[in-house]
Amino acid sequence: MTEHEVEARLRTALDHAAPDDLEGVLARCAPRSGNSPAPLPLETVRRKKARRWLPAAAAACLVLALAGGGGSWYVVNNTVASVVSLDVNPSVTLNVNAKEKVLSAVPVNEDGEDILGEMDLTGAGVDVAMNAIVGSLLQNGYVDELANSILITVEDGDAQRGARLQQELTEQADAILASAQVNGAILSQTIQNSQQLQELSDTYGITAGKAALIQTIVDNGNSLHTFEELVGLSINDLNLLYTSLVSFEPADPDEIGVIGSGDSTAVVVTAPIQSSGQASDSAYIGVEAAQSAAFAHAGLTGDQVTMGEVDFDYEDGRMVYELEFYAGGAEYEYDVDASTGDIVKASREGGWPAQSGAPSGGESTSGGSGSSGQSAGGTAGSGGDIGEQAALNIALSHAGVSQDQVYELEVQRDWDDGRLEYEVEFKAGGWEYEYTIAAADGAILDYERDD
Amino acid sequence: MLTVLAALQTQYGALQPEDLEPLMAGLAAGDQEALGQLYRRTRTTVYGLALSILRHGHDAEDVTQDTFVRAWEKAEQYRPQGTPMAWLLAITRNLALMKLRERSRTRDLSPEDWESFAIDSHDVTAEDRTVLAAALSKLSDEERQVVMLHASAGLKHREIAQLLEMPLSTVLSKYRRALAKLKQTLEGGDAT
Repeated sequence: MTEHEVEARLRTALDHAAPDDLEGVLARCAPRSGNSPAPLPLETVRRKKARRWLPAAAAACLVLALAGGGGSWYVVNNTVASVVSLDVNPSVTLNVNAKEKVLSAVPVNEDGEDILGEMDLTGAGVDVAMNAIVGSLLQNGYVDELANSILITVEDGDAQRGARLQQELTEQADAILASAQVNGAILSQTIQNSQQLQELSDTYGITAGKAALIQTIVDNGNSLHTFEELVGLSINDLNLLYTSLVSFEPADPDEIGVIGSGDSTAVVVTAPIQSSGQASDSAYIGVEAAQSAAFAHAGLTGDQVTMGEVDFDYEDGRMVYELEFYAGGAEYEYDVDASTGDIVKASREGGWPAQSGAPSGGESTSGGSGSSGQSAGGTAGSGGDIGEQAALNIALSHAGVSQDQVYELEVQRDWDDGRLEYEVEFKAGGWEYEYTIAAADGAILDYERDD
Repeated sequence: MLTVLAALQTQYGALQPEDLEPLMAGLAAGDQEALGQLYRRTRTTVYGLALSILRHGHDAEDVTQDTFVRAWEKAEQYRPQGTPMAWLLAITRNLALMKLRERSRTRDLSPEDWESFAIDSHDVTAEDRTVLAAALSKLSDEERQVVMLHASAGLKHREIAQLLEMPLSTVLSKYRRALAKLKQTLEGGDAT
């Protein structure tokens, strides 16, 4: 029996066993039009998270307050004023009243359950609870020299109170880590409750704080990351990405950050994310090793190279060092697998000997033609290389335009996903075209047209 | 707005994003027919993931139904970025883990449970039961999730790694080991 046959048998068995009860589903999903959802109750919705009862609790408390007497006492003591979440990989949420006492401590994932263990934090001051949780994180080995980042998020409708709590808790966590002689890195933020964050939190089973951090990276990153891509990353990796993101653009401390596109459900962060300490990259090969791998791939030595930016990024499901450097009039961009040192992407622009027939316009004038079959980095070739002009011709032919009809033409040779590719971009007839052509056989791997 | 004219590399094998995206739009617009199509195309995959986490037929059926109701509720929040299957499976995984927490621990599939497993389905053959019993009893939780996602959804190992929050190398080794165990069991050997 082959592996394929084993899989096929399993697939068939699942297909036979899977429920075929569309009527049951439809019975719970009433028809609706446009933006008026009217689903019937879902079992899981009834198991609401603790903070979801905040509005209901507030309403109930209002009734008590109106009744006078002990009403205001009840409101102050039993209403959630702030939600504090701690994320490492374990995630824990603390619902806190206006007196900064913990009303409930809720694990958000299985590791969070381990961290809370048998601890009963109800009624404890939020500072005491923070102490206990960070201590447990250290004791259980979730924060160490390989992954030293903690995210502290305060969710509070009162931005001023939230910011103060954020500051206090961050300083306290810092002190605990310092006393344990761990060089911790803490990201902290104050956010306001939003429907969008709540949905992301529910969908992915993460805290609203981690959702806000990921959304910040997605909305502000140069790369085309999706939320789904990043949701599985640890806080340490997210911290490395976030630090890379902001390292060249220091945040204005007076700025009010609004994540999203301005609709009413946009995530509101009342201040930029605060960062203290340096996220550990000890689990990765280090910048020097990444540079060596890239230089070797490009056929260069360190003394031939002028370094540009070095960042962390996340590509194709792995953390990478993103390197930019210059040598011999060419600009190189490399993504190097941060765990293995493998070359994930490589591109070189400029510095090639110009030949007749080279595409004209844009940056490609300095690129010239690469029709000799020589690879971009000298060692990157895999199979044949049709050359720059042939790749361009394929793209032009597919788009149905001739070379003299196009402008702003750029042709770039990239090493991506283990193969050599040509990225061809041009404009013609009011359209912008982008092609990815396989260097080995000229196959069109992807193309887009933008108006 | 970029118009993607073609994506020659499919992301989810038999379940292609370009097939599912219009259905997601239909769900968001409140179209029950779109929900029906989504259900028919993906119920096996959703059920496979739920079963691999819960190891209990009836619970997996419940989570399967809850997943589609949840998708119906949340469809307006879905952002069309070519990952409808990942979005749906993230809901499934989340709901299955919530159910698991409710149960506080995974129940082993007792003979009684096995008898009640898909009891109303006349489609389950003796061979199906053998294969599923092997997957549920011989594989670790992670091995089972990896192999079921690969077998039923055609998810790539990289996509499984993202969904299950595991390193790619772990997914690959668990996949190989799981298949070897299943093969050995189905051929009459005693997998370890």
